[in-house]
Amino acid sequence: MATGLAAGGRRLLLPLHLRAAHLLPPQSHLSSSASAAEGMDGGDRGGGRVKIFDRELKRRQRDRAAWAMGKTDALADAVADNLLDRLEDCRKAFPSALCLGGSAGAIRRLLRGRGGIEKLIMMDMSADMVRKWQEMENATDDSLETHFVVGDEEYLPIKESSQDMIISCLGLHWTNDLPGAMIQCRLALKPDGLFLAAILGGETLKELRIACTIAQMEREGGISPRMSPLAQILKKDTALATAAIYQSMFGLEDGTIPATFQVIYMTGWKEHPSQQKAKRRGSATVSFSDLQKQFGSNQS
Amino acid sequence: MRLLTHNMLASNARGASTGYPLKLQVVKWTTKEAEPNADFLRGMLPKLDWAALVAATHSLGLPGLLPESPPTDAELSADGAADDEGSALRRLHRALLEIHIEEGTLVCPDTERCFPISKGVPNMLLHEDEVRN
Repeated sequence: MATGLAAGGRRLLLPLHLRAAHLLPPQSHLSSSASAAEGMDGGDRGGGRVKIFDRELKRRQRDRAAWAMGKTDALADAVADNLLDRLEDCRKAFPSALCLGGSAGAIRRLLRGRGGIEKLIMMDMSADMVRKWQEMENATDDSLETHFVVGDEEYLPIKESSQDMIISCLGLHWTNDLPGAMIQCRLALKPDGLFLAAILGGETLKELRIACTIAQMEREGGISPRMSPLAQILKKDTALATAAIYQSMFGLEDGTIPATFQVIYMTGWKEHPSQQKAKRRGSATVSFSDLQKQFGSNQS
Repeated sequence: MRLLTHNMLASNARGASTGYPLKLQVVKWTTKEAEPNADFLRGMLPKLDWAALVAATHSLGLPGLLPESPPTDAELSADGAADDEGSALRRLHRALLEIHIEEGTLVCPDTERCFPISKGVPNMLLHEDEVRN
C-alpha cells in the first residue's frame, strides 16, 4: 500500500506492543519482547497470536451497543464527517465500497453522495448491529444500493480485488492484529482502490485513565496495568473515587467534565501502474543550488 | 442477501484455498421489484465473476435467467431494454438486484463450512479455531 498508510501502520505498532506486554502474566515477562514482536509482524496468526481483545466479548458488547444506539451521535458524526471529507479531495469515483464496523451507521448517514458510491456493503461482527443499520436503511430514501453482511474484520470474508474503497470509522482499534486486518483490506481492494480509516489513539479518554489510576492507588494501594485502550469496570468505591477525582481534577466550572478523544486518520491506496513513482536515485538533471539562484538570493 | 453480494463474498475457513465462489443453498427467497439502472449495471458488469453469478441462479432453480457468457455493453444499452421483460438488461437486473435470499446457507467450496443466511443477512463469522492461519 502507498506510503501514507505504511507510516500510519508503523505509528500504531508501538502502542500495540506496549499493550501486549502489559497483559502478559509476570512469569512470561522474559519472553514478552519476543512474542510481542511476532505479533507486530502480523505474520503470527493462529496459536501464538497476541490476544488483546476478546473478540467474542466485543461482539456481545456490540450487540448491546446496537440497542443503546441513538439516531445520531455527535462524536461519531464528527469523525465520520471528517473522514468522508477526504473523498471530496478525490476526483476518482468508488462505485463499490465496503464499510466496516464501528460507526458505519454514521458513515451511511453522512455519506450524502460523496465518493460516487453506487453499492455499499455494511459489515459488522454483531448481527444486532447489522439489523439496526438495516432498520435505519429502510427509513432513508436515497437510491444507494446497500447490502448487509455479518463478518469479522480480522478475517475479512470478501473476495480479492473486488472493492473500490474500504472505509472503517472508529472500529479497527478493537482488532488484535491491526496490520493483519489492513493487509486483508488491501487484498480485498482493486488496484488503485482506496482505504480510509479512523481509529481511536492512545490519548483517548486520558482524563478517565488518570482518574482511574489515582483512585486505584488510593483505594487499592496499587495500580493494575491492565487497561487496554478503553477503561474497565472497577470496584464500586474505586469507581466512586474515580468519579470524584475526575470531577475535581478536570471538572469545569459549569459542572461538566471534558473528555479527550484522539482520532488517527489513515489513508492508503492499493498499488496501480498509473500511480506516480519516485524517480530513480541520481536521475535529477537540475541541482538544488541552481534552483536557489532561480528564485534569487533572499536567504543567506 | 442479493446475488450481487454473494458475488463478492469469500470464505476464510481454515483449509480454504480461495474460498470462492460460495455454494448457495436456498430455503426461501423473494422478489422485490426495483427500477433498473442501466448505468449502474454497465459499471458493475466488469466487476462480476460471471460464472459464480450463473451458478448462483442455477441453485435458485432459474437456469434460464442468465446466458452462459456475460451480455455485451451494446446489449445492455439497447433501445427499450429497460421496458422489455426479456432483455439482457432486465434479466441481469433481476438476477443481481431483485432476487433477495431470505433464508439459506452459503457453503465454502473447499471445506464445506456452512454460513447461515438469516432474515436476509449472511453471517460469515467463524469460531476462533476455524479461521485460516
